[in-house]
Amino acid sequence: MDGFWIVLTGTLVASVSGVLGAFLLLRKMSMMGDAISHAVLPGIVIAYLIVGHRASFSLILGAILIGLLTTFMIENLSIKGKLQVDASIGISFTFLFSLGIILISKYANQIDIDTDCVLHGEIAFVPLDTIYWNNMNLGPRPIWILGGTAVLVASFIAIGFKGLYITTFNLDYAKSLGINVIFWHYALMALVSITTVVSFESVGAILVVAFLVIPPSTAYLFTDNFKYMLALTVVFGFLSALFGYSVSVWLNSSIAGSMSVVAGGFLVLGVLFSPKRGLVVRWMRSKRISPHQPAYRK
Amino acid sequence: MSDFLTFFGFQDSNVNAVFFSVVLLGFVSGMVGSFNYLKKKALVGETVAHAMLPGIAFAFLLSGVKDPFFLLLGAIFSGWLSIFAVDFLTRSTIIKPDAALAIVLTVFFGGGMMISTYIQQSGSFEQAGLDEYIFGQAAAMSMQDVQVFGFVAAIVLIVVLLFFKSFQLAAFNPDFGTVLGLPIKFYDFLLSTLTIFTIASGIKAVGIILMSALLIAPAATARFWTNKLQTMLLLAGVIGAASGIVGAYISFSYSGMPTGPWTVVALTGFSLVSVFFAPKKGVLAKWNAQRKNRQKILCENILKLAYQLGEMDRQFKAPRSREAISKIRRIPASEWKKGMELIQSQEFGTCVNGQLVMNFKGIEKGKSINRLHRLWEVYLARKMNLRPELVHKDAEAIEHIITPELERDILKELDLCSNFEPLREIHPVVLADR
Repeated sequence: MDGFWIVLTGTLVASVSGVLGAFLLLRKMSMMGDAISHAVLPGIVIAYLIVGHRASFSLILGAILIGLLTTFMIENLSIKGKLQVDASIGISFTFLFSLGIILISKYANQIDIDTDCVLHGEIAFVPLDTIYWNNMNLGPRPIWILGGTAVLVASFIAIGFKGLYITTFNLDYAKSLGINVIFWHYALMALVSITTVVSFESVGAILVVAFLVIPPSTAYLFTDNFKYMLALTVVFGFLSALFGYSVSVWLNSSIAGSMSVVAGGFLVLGVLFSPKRGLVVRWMRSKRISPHQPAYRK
Repeated sequence: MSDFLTFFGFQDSNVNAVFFSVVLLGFVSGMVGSFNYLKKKALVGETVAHAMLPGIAFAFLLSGVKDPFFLLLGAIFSGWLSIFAVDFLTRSTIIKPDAALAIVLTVFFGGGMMISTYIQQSGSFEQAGLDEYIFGQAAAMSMQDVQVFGFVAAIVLIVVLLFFKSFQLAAFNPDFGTVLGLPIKFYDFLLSTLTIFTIASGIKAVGIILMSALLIAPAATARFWTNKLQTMLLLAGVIGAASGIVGAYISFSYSGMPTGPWTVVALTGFSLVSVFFAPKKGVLAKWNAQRKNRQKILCENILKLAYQLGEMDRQFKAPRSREAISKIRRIPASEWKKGMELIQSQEFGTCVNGQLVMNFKGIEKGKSINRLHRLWEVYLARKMNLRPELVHKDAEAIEHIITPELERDILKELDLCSNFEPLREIHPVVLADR
């Protein structure tokens, strides 16, 4: 039963972050996941300082605010300040993360919080944290929180699919149609920060960042259709969670680490064997095609 | 004050170790980071720093002891592997560089977590030491660290001096270098190696986050102040070192304050100040230039319109009210007021009862702007075969930009003599004819 809950948690995190990650991937902002996962630290600490406990709601609020602040800082540094985008990302998240550490050091004696417990949630503990209602076991609490997040993200994407889709694929066209490009950008980033923070507690930062980028990238290798890509992302996320858990049981090693590595393994398989643009297929084609024909390009 | 004296008086050997470590490490990272920044690979440091965990853990697993040399070797090896993986993904698949960085970061770090949990469970070892290898222990720096940093700094300086021209080419125009037959890939490899050496040597002392920040922020900051690579390298080094000193000083003076994060805050401070206040490239300088340009255009537009009124009634020195001018083109009252101030301060004319009276200089200016406008219309109509009704808008913008040299060239293109005076704009003539 424990295994079931862990795989379910992994799949939920993978689906939510994978679907958001697909948008990030196509906007060439994949490092934003890593950035936001570091940058939310001060938000969590401040929320903790104000409320005094790690209640989910205030944490989520803090995370949204700080996620938007990070986005704002990156946008302004790169657009108004003419800094390279990657440098803006690097400067912003290292700064905010450091602020978080400084806050923790300053209030170390008042709060029971450290970087470990914020950034390194342990997925193995998920089944232990169950909730009861009228003495009825409702299953692990993280499942409910992640499920809620999944519903939120899914409904937002369902409602705003057109806006997200068009601003992702053709920003200039979207602008010319009068679509509020900035709104969609910030909305996406807010969702990414909610997902990151909610998942931190249950699975740890590294797995969220991994699921934000690896399953969508694997799916991206297999299809050019965006809706198929989203579906495949969920499939690869599920497979990574399932086999990652099996590997961790087999080797008795970190579950989050194993899931990331297995997700990476699927990516390698995709790179090699994807029927569209896998290296093997390309190699076979290059042998078959005579030198007179134009070679197949990726 | 006594803190200040102890810190900068070099009396305490612990303080000295921290001081020299941060200075050397900051300087080297600034320099190495500059090349990465110019190659638009600022976040490589973040990935490589995370990717060193499996190497460190694996080296520990193999050797069974916490020998710094073995761990360093492991870190360097897995750093190399990660850079190779990023290059492979970007070159041979459709995955973009940013995604490749994130993928390699998470997969390697995940692998590192697997190995370190394995170590933890098999007991015995001082596992706690490995964590600190990745998250940094700036306060615990010793003279031994200073020696390591000094060694790395010497290597980096020598390599950069020896290969300066090649690195410059590899950073700015790799394709040109390849065409020349230079081993650009080798230079890239060498640069990556320097990055890896720097990170591997620094990561135990300062941790992943500070290492990433030290590789990005000083370079980005230095770029705002100079266009010369030599100056940029030096400046980035100095900024890195200075932030390190600030961080170390704050950590020394206020107990419980960590060195690394305060260094990052200082770095961000330097960056933000540069983003806003750097001459030419700073936000403020750009904003100022834009404001000046807008003022110039407003001034020229008013003079041009007043001259056009003068052309109609042949009285160039007559006072012109805003209302009269607005019949040709609307000028809002607030802009009119600003324009009058500008015209007076630049001595193009005077303002009498809110009406503009141009002096000789102002009339000449209005005349020349009108002339440039019409000249451009003629040019567009004749040389670009644009329909006459389309030329006016373009000329409205270009009339403020044409320099005397450009004017000469246009006249030459059109085979016109230098005192050619178009009488009217083209478009009203054409439109009136219809």
